[in-house]
Amino acid sequence: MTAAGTSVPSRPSRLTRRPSLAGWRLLRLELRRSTLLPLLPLLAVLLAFTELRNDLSHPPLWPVRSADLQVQVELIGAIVAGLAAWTAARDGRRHVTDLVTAACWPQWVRQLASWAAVTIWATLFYAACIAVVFLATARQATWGGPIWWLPAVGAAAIVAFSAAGFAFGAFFPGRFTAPLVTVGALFAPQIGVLATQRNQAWGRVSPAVNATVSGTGTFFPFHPGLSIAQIVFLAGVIAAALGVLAWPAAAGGRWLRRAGAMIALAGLVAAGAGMALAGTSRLEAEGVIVPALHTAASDRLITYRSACDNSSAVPVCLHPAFRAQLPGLAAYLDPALSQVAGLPGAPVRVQLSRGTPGDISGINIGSAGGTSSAISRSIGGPTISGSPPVLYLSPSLLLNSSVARISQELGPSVAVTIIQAVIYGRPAPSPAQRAVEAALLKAAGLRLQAVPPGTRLSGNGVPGPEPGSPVSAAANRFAALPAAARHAWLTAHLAALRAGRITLAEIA
Amino acid sequence: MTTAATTPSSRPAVPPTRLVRLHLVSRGIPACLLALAGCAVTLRIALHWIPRSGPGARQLPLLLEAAAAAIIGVVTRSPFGEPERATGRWLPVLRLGAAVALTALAFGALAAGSAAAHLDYGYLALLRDLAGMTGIALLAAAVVGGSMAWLGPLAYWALAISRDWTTPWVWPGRPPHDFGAALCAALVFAAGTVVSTVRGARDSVGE
Repeated sequence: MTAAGTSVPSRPSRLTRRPSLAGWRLLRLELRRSTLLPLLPLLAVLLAFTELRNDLSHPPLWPVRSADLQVQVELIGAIVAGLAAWTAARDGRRHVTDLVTAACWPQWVRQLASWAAVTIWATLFYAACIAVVFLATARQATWGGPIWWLPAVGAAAIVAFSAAGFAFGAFFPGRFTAPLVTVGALFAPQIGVLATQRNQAWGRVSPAVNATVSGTGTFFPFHPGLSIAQIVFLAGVIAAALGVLAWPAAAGGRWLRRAGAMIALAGLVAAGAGMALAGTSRLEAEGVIVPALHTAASDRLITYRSACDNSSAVPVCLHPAFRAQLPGLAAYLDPALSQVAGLPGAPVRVQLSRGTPGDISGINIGSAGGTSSAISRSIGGPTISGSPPVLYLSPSLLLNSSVARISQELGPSVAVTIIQAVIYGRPAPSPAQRAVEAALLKAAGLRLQAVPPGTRLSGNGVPGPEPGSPVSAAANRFAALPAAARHAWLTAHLAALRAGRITLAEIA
Repeated sequence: MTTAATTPSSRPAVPPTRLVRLHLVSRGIPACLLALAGCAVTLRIALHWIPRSGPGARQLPLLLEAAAAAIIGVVTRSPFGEPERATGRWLPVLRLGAAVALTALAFGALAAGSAAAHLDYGYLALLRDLAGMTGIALLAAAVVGGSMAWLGPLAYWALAISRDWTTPWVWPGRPPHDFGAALCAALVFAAGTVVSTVRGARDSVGE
């Protein structure tokens, strides 16, 4: 029998006939046997105890939760990078390098299929995290919507971590590659954070840094410039890492290697461009601004229709994003408001002040501009102004705060402001005014402390008259009256009291 | 060769030097030592750059301790698998020696890396955290295999830094002189060492 006698009629292989189908089959095989797949439940449990738990403990504001999703990419991305490195070294680990070299697909294509499988599972997992956080937020939030730019940066970072990890695993296979790549991936974003802390603006290219400040997306619009720069940088990292895979001689033919080199070069250019854009960024009161990607039209404050609570003595109105905090805040303010409600000078409404972004975010940039040394953070106190008078609260009080925290921040100052606005009519308060003020503050539930001259007030108390003094006696007498009687007396005598014509003896 | 030559009484009390050397080489110990040295150098650089206070001052050194523990976990992987288990008479002793010696070396390397720099919580906490996380790595190696043992200490690191835990089982958050935390870390290290000595890492030859 000769070879000619046994020749088989040549026919096109399945690959030649249906290359796209074979490609899908390769990808499907990689998806089914991906190392990441069996680890996803464990990763989900880890995230449920760490990042997701932290995310959902933050205030249910869309910008806050969106920023959380970007930042939490550090942990997912690092583990994905390690597993991608592990996957890239698979052929060598299983001693099948020679076997797969003889396969019909070029090595680069096979590597891309392996990488794509890891990346698809990782991206789907990240999408599931986004869904969990956003669904929970949708049930809790009372206004607004997600800032998609932030999870988009997170998704790009996941793909970039995967590509970079895969490239490391492909070039440096070994038992230590996966853990070292994971640790390196956990460290890498922190380099940007450390650089930002040292006033190096390029550090903001790190996905661990986001463009939001307090009030972003609630009081003033989100500026996507930094997110765009970060995505450009991450796209560059992806292209560079995947392009580099095509460099070895075994990766494929000449054209394929050239294409890989071009992709890697384009990736380096994109990464450099992203870093250069981030390098021009500066922290402003309304967030991180990249001048080349910023339009002045986006600087306008967001308009909104206030949500009001009418259960207290006067309506308490807030931004609708804080509707959930309204009942608690109204209950906190009501004891002081109810003492003076309806009297001349008493606030007829409580609402948020409409200040500059600096007032809202609490970030005021000094003359040095944009450096951390020039930034001061301050929260404005409550003020009463206008006609009719309105009690204005600083929006920065509400951001990232619960009602308990707001109460702690405000302390007794808001009650003192409300009472003094009604009682005090001249710069130097008269003894009668101090007595009535003390009585009303006491009736509002505040703890008064006698402060001897030369000593400082301790704790969260309010300075009150010295016990046993005539002012204290008058205050106690007035506080002992029923609320209706106090209010009636004030209605009748407030003008005289403010003018300083009431003596201590005349207080009911 | 006579049967007398293989009687138990003629066996040496310690494994021969050549056997120790071959065991260390087969586990990639030279590369492991390099990696530990790299952790120490990175810790030195990180301590120079990170602020002396704040979350980073604790998290980044702890990450390098987790990395060192992960490396110790990875070297438990045997390239020989079942044949070595069946014939390796000295294997438990070699595993025990390697685990304890590498932990001590990792502590020495990280302590040297943090010398003359501010290490949050000090050397006592470094020893506690490193030993505990090494125990986790050894336990992870016994459960998921040496190749994936690194997931244990790194996942524990992520868990530890996620919030302020009060349980001593999450010892990195406790003060250095906390007895409960030290006890928990020591228990985990002991458990990991015992399991690693007796059973070794769950590895397949193919991996």
